[in-house]
Amino acid sequence: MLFNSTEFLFFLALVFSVYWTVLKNLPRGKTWLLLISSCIFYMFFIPKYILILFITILIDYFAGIKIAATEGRAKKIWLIMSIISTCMVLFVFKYYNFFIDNTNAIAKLIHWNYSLEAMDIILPIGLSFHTFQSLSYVVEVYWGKQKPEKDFVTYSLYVMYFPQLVAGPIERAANLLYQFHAKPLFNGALAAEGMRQILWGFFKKIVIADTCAAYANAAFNDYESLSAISLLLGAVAFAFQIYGDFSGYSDIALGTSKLFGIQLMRNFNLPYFATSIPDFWRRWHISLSTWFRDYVYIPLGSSRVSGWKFYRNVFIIFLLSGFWHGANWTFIIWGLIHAIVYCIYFAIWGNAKQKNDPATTPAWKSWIGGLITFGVVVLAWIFFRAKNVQEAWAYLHAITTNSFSGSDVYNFLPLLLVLIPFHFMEWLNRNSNNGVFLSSYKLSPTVRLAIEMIMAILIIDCFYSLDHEQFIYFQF
Amino acid sequence: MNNSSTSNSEFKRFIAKMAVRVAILGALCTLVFYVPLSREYYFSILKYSDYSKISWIENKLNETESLDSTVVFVGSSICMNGVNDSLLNALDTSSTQYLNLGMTHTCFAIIDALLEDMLERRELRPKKVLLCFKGDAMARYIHTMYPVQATPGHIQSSALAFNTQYVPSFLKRVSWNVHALTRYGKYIPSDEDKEFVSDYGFKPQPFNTPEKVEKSYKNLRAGSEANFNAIQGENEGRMLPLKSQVLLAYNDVTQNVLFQRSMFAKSARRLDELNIPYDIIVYPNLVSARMQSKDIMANYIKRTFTSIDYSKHNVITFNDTAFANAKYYVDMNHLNPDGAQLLTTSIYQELHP
Repeated sequence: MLFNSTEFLFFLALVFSVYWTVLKNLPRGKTWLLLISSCIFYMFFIPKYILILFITILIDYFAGIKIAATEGRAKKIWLIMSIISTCMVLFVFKYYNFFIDNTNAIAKLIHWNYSLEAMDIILPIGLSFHTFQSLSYVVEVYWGKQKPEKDFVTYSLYVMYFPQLVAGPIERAANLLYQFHAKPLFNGALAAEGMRQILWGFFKKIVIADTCAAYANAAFNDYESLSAISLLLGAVAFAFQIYGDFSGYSDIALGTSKLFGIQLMRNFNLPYFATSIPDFWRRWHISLSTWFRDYVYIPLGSSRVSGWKFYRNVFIIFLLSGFWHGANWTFIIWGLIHAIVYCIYFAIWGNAKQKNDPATTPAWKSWIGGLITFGVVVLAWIFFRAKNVQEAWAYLHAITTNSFSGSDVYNFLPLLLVLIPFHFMEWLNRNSNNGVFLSSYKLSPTVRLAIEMIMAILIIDCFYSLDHEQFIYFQF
Repeated sequence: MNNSSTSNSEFKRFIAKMAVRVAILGALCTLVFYVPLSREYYFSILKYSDYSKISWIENKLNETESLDSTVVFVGSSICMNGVNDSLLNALDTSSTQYLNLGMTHTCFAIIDALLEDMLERRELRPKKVLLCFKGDAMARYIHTMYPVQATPGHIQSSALAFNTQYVPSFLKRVSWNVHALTRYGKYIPSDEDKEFVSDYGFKPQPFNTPEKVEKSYKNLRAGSEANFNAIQGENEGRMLPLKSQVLLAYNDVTQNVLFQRSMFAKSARRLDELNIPYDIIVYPNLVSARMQSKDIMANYIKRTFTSIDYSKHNVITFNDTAFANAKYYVDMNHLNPDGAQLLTTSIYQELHP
């Protein structure tokens, strides 16, 4: 079920009503309701894939209990078994064909008469998200930071909770499980905040991302004949498309969850206002970057190790992050670009610069840093968006060799009418601690209502007059 | 006061607040829905789209002072691609003219909106109207561009005809009205190749090889035959299996078919009230021609639209076995120019026995 569908609105209204009325005094019933709703939500895509999810849940549930109950080698074996079984599903569905294609290509290169058949399978939706969420649980239990969840229904809900099931945020057990156990009481202020966040999420997805998608698609579909300015604007359009799309999804997820009294972690914090690449990664897809930080980067020694090991760690993290997004070299190069720029930044300014208070940094430095960072991010997005590496290079080549300007620019310039106001709206949101538009301002109810109505009308406008793009991150 | 009762009252307050917001949004949308924008604006949206023929029809009717001696064909793409009005004009040496106003997609709501515009707003009185029926199935989906082409009044009245897509239709109209302001920030490709440019309403389809047509037929045959059998079953008073009924209801097909029926009946009534002669043409396609049951759809029409006086209005079907030959088609439903010539000649003979 897509968030940007009428089915979802009816589904949410129904679950919300039953949750707070019929089951208002039945905490156990509420857990069951959320779990059943999550199953229905998931089965709207490919129903039979729920069995895969169920098996993963079952293995990690028992592994969690066994890890906590054993010590030493047995504990480690349970952990490894759980990680392997969970990652095996990910490998088979997401990486097997990539592995086969590359093995075949290498075999052909060395004239070895060897060929493996690729599988004709569809990737289960949101697989990378719930896999990482399951992995974080067993690792936390192994480290002794998290008690194993004994209740199978609650653990299943932790993995399957529908607001964040298919595209995150990748939650931690410590943040979510205790909320499922708490006796939920309706909190009007939180629910109202949730509704505003849903509205803001839909605005970002439908008004911003889908509008930008039309520009980005036009540029990437016809890069051979467009002028350099149009191609640059097309790449910028994709940068805002993916931001509006994914952060919009996250806002809808967070807002939906707040309606049930459950708070999820913030996933975005104005990433295009970042003044450096390290800063960007503290603001973009926070739940994934902190996942890699906690479960890969820190165990590898993080920045405490000296010399080349630090750079090795950075490259591992970014290459893994790229590979997490998809089994395609384009994603790996995307990660590589970020890794290179991250390392250059570190080599010049070191770690101390990262800790500098932005308030004390001169404005001009922030501006220049921000522009360079945005430029690097947009460059990397070209690889992320392209179908393959050749297309990405061809797009970049077209930017440098096609005519600088042409009549096609007039088709792309209107993009600025969308991006400049949106960037200003984002800037207004800079002091918000929850990402909800204008939440840090004290506005009269009438003004707030008027703003909400304008946003709702614009959502209706774009929902019906534009082609809809599926949420990009659903494919991961 | 305990936590539970506080929570209860908060919940009620929240629901009340949301209800107020929904009501305000509804009122705002209604205001926007009725904003009187020019017809040029709405039809300019369609000019370079797949629905370019609708803009062409608007311009054609703008240029037309009288249809008194014109036979008008209205219907879907099977009409647009099947009736060569230029050929009809050549065949008929009398003063009678022919005009093909067929447009892409089968939907009786948009046809009725077109008739309303032509007959009531413009007060044009065609010599005869030929309504279109697909050979193997009932219209079952509302036209995407119905909210652009129809007037607010027509959309509102569709609710009374049980248009289950009324809310999306209403909101689409709202959307296109807002789009008049917001279009300056959107990427709007102007694909001039899509513009329908012709003196006549006939749109010839490109030729396709019979092998490709047969392949398309093979792929889609089962579904189309199922539709055809369902129509036959309905004629004979048989019920569909429960699973099919649930599936059709879930996909809003059952409800939409009822709405489409009421729209077709409304068009027939509209023509009767103005004493405009009309007939119904059942257009052949590969499935209906190959199943050799030309009367099935005609019987369905007679059984479904009982208010039509069939002694005055003919249901025209075609017996020619040539329509079962893939060489006359571009796909399972649409005729190529040779097929259109065959059909046009057959229609001419039906109209001039």
